[in-house]
Amino acid sequence: MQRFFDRLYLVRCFRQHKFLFFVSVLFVLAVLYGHKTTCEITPSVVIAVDRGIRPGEKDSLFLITINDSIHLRLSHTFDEPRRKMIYSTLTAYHRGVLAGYEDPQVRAIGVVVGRHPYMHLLSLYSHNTRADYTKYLPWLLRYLQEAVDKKIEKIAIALQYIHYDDRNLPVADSTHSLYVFQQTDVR
Amino acid sequence: MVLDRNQAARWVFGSALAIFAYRYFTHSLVHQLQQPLLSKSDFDYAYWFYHFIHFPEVFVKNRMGAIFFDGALLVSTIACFINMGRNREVVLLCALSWSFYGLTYNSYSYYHSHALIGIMVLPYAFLAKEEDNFKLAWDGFRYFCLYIYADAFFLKVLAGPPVFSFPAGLEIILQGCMLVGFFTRRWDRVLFFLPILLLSMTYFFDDAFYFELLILNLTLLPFKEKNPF
Repeated sequence: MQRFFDRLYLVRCFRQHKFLFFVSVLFVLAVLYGHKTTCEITPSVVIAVDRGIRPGEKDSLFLITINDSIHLRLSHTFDEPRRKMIYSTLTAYHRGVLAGYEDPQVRAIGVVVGRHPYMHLLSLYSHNTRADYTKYLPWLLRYLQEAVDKKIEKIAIALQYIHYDDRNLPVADSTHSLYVFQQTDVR
Repeated sequence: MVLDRNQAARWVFGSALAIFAYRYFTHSLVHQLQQPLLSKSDFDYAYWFYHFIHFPEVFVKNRMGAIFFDGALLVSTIACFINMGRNREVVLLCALSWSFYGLTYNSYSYYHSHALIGIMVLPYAFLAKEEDNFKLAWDGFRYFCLYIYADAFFLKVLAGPPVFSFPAGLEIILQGCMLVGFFTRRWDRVLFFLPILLLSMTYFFDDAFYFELLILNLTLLPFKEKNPF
């Protein structure tokens, strides 16, 4: 029993390096907090479970048309960092626009701070402002010029509604035009 | 392959350089983000703190600041690779830079990806002065690596897809196998290959790129000196 106890990582940390022991205990507490609340504290990750795609399920995705002619296509895998910078932020922008150029995180963060008032100061800059949303499309064009092609002068963004077929492949149902932005709009 | 501290440093900081190159070619280094605007903090206090100290105003939304930051990230990583993480000040700069890079990218890509978590934490192991303390920290990161897959296993068994399906079921089983590492080191050489197989499967079947997480696999390689267990 004593030998088993001596082998435990936290016991070894406590005996050998008190600071590492403190950090390890903090990590364990953050993991427990993360699992209880589903709010992770980096680097104490809480893995989210993706339930995957099911046949017949409906979904929507953004289509970006460049210079009125080419649809933007980036690899789902190797290009992941660039894809996220474009499509993930676009989803956030669209949600913000639907909420009247307000960050949907504000209300949820307000609820958390209401429960834990001592977190108020830390939460002050944790959301986006109205100006961030209004300047988003010029930024997206700038980023596309940097990351995809310098010749991009105009982008048109549409939302395509889809469903998945029996082989889990997306099938387009309808497309709705959302935003258009071109270089001249900035000048 | 059997590691010692110097070889571990070469592999960790060499992998960090490979990640830097990958990030450069996918236009996701801080200076390539074109002073981004929309950020996601969620309820993660680490991100709240990141914004609270106004890090983005100086090193993300300011072009010169962003170039300086990426320069510091690259130079400190190269320096750590060359001197095998023996200069603690440079290791600290490198470790902090990678942590802040991870927070920046995850925040401004509006997606808190776990792919970068390995490089965000592993360089801190080289802050240890004594060899014994380094091994203790390295051992801690080994458990961290095991925890990531074990946590995914438990959550998926409770709420995810059925275990008897392909490829999701096999992915869950591979994650569950990592639990063995909490009880013995005898299987570490086998466990080393499981995340490689798992992340290759997520690449081909789930269209997800998580190979940067493999840096934590280095902690599953045995050390030269005799292990206490």
